Amino acid sequence: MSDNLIYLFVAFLISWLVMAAYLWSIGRQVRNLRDEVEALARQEWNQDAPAAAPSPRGRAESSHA
Amino acid sequence: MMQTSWHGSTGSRLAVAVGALAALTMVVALYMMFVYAPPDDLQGDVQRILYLHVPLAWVAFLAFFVTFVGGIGYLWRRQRGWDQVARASAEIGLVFTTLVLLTGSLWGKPIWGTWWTWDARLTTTLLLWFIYLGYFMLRSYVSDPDRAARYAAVLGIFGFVDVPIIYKSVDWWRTLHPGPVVRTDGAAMPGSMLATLLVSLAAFTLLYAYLLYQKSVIERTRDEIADYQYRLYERQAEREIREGATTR
Repeated sequence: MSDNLIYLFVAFLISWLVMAAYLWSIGRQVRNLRDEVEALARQEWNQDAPAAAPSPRGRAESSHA
Repeated sequence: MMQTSWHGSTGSRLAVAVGALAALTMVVALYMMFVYAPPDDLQGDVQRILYLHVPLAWVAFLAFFVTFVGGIGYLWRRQRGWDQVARASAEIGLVFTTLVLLTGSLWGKPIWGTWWTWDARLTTTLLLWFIYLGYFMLRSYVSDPDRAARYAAVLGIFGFVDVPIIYKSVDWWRTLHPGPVVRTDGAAMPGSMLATLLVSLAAFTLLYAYLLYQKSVIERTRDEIADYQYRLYERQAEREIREGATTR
């Protein structure tokens, strides 16, 4: 590999690594937000429903069963 | 039940279509960069960095233009949607400007013999990077979201002034940096190279559109969650006060 080709290789490698990492971080943010929404939905259910009632997730699971 | 814009939005068919089109165009662009386009007579293969560097710069400028428009929209209408798009775009712009500086440096070393020089184009681009780094620092230091959005909008508007300065810097000052490759009087490169550059520009623009959509939905959902949490705590506090009153 000539000296110049190494610069070309590194430029593309760095660019694609950074873009892949950025796309991955966006995916992770979406997953975290999804978890947060679910946690809030459970919190809302616990506030509104009587203490013995199942959580929304538990209710959904039992309705599928 | 909490309803957020996240529900079904990120997976919307349009976003998926744009993302798929961006990936497909990127594959074509990569083929053209390494196979279709001939090596440059003077610079050799290292000139191929240009097919990456120029589209990255274009997307960075486009992203800051969207931040500029979002800032004006927020100050004018005071609707958070403008601010959400502005901050989503600023983040993408900052990532792409970082890559512009890195790829430029990797091209400069073999061609100019140095990683960095205080050339007008390079210096104004570095200034742009610092402006948008400041944009996020400002947002994190101001605790009130409305004030943070207002200050950031002002910085986003004034910061954008640097973009036309960067573009015209090669005309206004004597610089090492090459001039524009596509001008009104024609392209300064052969047709195959120009076609490769245009396909790469299209691929990166599609990637930007996809990222902007995803990031805007994330920002909107974050705001909605914060609002919802606030309402939830308010209701809880009201209930505790009511329960306290009845037990007494």
